[in-house]
Amino acid sequence: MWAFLHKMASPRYFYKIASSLVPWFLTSGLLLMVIGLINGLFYAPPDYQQGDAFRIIYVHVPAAYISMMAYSLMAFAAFVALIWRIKIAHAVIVGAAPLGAWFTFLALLTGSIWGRPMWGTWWEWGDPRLTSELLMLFLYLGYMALRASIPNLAQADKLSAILILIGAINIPIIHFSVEWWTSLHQGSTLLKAGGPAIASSMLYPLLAMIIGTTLYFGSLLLVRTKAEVINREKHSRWAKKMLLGNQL
Amino acid sequence: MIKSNNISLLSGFNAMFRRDCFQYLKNPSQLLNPLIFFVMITAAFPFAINSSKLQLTQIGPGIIWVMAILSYLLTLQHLYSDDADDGCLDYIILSPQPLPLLVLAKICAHWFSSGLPLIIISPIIGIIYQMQVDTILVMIATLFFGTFALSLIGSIGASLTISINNSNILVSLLVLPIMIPILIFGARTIGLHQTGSTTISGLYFMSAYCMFALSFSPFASAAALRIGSE
Amino acid sequence: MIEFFTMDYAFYVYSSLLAFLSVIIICTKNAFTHLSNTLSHVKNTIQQMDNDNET
Repeated sequence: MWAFLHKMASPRYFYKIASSLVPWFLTSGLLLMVIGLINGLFYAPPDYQQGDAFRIIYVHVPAAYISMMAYSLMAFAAFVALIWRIKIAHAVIVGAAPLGAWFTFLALLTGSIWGRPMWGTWWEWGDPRLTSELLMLFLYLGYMALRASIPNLAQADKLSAILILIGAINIPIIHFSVEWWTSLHQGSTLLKAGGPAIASSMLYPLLAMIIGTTLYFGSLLLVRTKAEVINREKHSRWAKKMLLGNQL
Repeated sequence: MIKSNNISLLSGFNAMFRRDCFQYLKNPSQLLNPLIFFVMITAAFPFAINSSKLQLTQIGPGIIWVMAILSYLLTLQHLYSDDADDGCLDYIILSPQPLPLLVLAKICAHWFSSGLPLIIISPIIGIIYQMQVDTILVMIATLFFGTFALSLIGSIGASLTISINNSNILVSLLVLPIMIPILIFGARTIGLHQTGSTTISGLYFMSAYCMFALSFSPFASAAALRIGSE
Repeated sequence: MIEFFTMDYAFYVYSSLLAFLSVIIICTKNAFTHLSNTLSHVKNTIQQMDNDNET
């Protein structure tokens, strides 16, 4: 496995492996998402408390999960890039940022739509989970703004990696905000001691959606990282050989 | 009393602190402009909103806190850019003293020259917003922690952007998300005191946030300064 | 089938579904067009570097 990871650090092998993985991840992710959505929308029984509005969970939870996972991935990649100086990790951060921002926006939007019938309000400013999720959206946007404004690539890489690491404190805050403070948002359902507190007929579509969205996110991450990698490696011989064929 | 030739950490801190304080004193207008901005805008709100006394006491803490943060952000731009412009920053980075220590000295000098006047001016604003004396004391306590935390976090934002000209908006954009918890707790603590609840938990949180920022901000700023001045 | 459109809170459920699908479509389209644009841009750059080298 270490040999595989070592190989992945090389831009050329990463590009090759990513190109072969993208169709698998994308198709399996989309398939799982379709299965999860159809089951969740039409076949899961209505909740006794929330009626049919709980079906938004099949969209809101995967989006929120991806938003936090993408940031954790970016924080880990920033750590790897700064400590071990593995350059491809910077490309991964660049690739993950727009996707994470979109999913954070989606999580906020679907959460707000869900909150309107359930809590009676589109938004609640005192709520810790809503505020920290919004903060995470600002962190994504701040990262992209900082990158765009520093002309030197190496400096931009390192400084924005520092920014990502500083903002990483937000992830445990979002996750534990429902435990530490009183919040409108409900507590943990899946990762509880004693097993998930949700019926199986509702749980399985949710798991399908989560896994499907993760695979889908993975495929788009590979696509965007591929673009970033080829952009950084445009002076290398393997890029020339790949793009121009054998017309040397 | 044996005099040693070793340069102690404390002397390095003192030297940097004194140098920065004197530099700020040499340009009093740089210090006064954000203060005047703070006073004028917070004083302008009651004119614009035309509110009753009850409404003023309710909206006062929030407005004062937001304006304090905004005017403090104005002072942050001079934290490293002045030294970077005339080349002193390279000497500071290359000095034998640990860079995080010198950064901490710069931050303390910045707080001394920009945060302390803000805290001293704030009772006047408190009176404009019809606050009682004990509420003003709570406000001073929250502003004390808040301005120091803002100095610490703002130095990270300023150090990340030294290689960019006209980076005020970007620094604000980077710093504000991390400052939101302090803003929330600061404004709400004053509001809680006005309604009679206990404020000590809010002050504990703000001091904890300060300590947390103190523990990583000098190191993060030092790393960013080294990278940014390559 | 008609009951699926008149369940309680149908408006909210379907609008969030619509938001989800739009974000998925936008992200996929953006990612793949970004990749193809980058590839053609890099190709042009390499060709230009080649021409500069040969002249």
